[in-house]
Amino acid sequence: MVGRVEKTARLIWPVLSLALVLVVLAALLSLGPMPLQRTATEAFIRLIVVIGLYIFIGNSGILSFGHVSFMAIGAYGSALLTIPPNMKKIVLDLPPFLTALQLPTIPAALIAGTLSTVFAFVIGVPLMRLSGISAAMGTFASLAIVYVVISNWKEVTGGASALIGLPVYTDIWVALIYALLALGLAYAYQESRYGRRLRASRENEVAALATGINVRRERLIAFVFSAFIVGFGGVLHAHFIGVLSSSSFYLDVTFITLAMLVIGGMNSLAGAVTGTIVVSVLGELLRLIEAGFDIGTLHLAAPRGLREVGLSFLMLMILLFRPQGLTSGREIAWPLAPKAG
Amino acid sequence: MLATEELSVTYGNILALGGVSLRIEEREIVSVIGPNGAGKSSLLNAIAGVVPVASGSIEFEGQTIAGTAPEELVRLGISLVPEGRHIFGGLTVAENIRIGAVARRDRNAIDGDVERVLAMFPVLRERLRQPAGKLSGGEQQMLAIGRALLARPRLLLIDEPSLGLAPLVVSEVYRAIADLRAEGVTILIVEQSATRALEAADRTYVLASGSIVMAGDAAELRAEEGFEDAYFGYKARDP
Repeated sequence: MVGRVEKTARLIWPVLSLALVLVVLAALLSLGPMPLQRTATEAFIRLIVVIGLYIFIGNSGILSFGHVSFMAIGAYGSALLTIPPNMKKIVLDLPPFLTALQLPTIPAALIAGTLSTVFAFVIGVPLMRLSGISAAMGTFASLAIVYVVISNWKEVTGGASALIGLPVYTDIWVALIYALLALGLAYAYQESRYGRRLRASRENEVAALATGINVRRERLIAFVFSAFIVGFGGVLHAHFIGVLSSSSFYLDVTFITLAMLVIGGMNSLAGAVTGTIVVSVLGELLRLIEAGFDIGTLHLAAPRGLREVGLSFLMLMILLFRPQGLTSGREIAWPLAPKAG
Repeated sequence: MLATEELSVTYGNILALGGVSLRIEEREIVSVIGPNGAGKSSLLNAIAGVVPVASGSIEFEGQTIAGTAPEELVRLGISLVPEGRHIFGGLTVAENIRIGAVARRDRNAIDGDVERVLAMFPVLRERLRQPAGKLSGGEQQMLAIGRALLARPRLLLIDEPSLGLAPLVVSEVYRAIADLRAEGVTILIVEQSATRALEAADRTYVLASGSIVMAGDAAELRAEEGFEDAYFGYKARDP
């Protein structure tokens, strides 16, 4: 009996401990001033995206530069389903039924997430035949395609001008709840036999094939599942800002979310969470320094771009000196019992 | 049980295996020996479906299997133990063993098979929760064989079981291979170190530069003139 309790504790501790950290952080930050709360909310949304990235990259070992496209599809999908019809009539040129359609936020979010998933499946079938650098380049190409389409499809996305009128419902608690859900789902996947097979193929593709693992299929499962989570991150982002522009789903977000994953350690869920927290806090500090402060009549400010340079520098240092990331790809182990031999 | 006919494997423009025909009967241990680069691993990988066949055919129990996906071959009863340290280093020993059952559908029989593997290789039992990457070379080889057994293979393909292992450990691995045959598993071993592979096998093929240059039982082969030439690859002769 005690053995079983301990076994369960050992199994859920890695994810439970991360969840506790997030809840405590949210509780503390929600007491802060509004700008701080907004920064925290944004960080939790980022976390959802990074967890989504981790599901694919962490378990498969294949880099993806394309996941932000799922974020974009989730965001625009949910926007089209929730913006009031009279607003859509003015800025967009949609088919009548789509103009008239206005769904409650949760069904809209689910449909938008599903759209990302379907898109991931369609591009994933050919992409998962590739390995290594070709796969990474393929995902990057898909990001570029989605970006260009969104920037130019005036009738549906508003094109170069921003899309406005989204209901704003993402606050720190909403973001926290979805981040916790993403965390739980990612862990459940990782510990399932599908996750184990994919991690096996990451360790050794030849042995995985020889063992009878259908590596392509396992990769596709993770790709599609991660797209759903990232798509949801996009939805929450859309309803956090309330305004969408195509440029907010391109290289900047791709870079920062990948940096979070790499810095934290891309082979563990703990790495995804750690990286997001560290990079968010550091980025915020650098931004404050960049904005400068006043001493009497003197205004001191660091040159613009300090944040990007600082984060890039950190990533470089991590890659050089701790290539497995801050967590070295390990999960948080159950602390109460000695390691089993 | 297994027969290949003029089997060829190419990597780009490089011919790794140029028309190999061999046959293995049920419950035999057959070894293929040859120097580095002779195409031994390509032969096994092609039979296991891990690398594509350029030309020629492979028959398993009367069924043509060239071009079949590896996971399907595992289901048919062919398992490959790849060369060297091909275990999943970041996964635990227990996870490594269990993952061998990936292609099976009879989930409830798996625990019993894990137990059989642990009985066969008791060292693995002591290390079930450790990352497999921390095992010694011999233990990793046993783990790789154990993992392959979880698929309940009828034909086991083993690539260089003695590679980089101490002689005592090699004996242990070969003892396990003999035990497996006693249980009814047919075995194809590929080896660079000829002595063991000749001793253990019923019949042996000698491979050099992608072709079979000699074949026969161990005693015959050793007596045969030119065996060493062929084996060491000084000059590959026509058979």
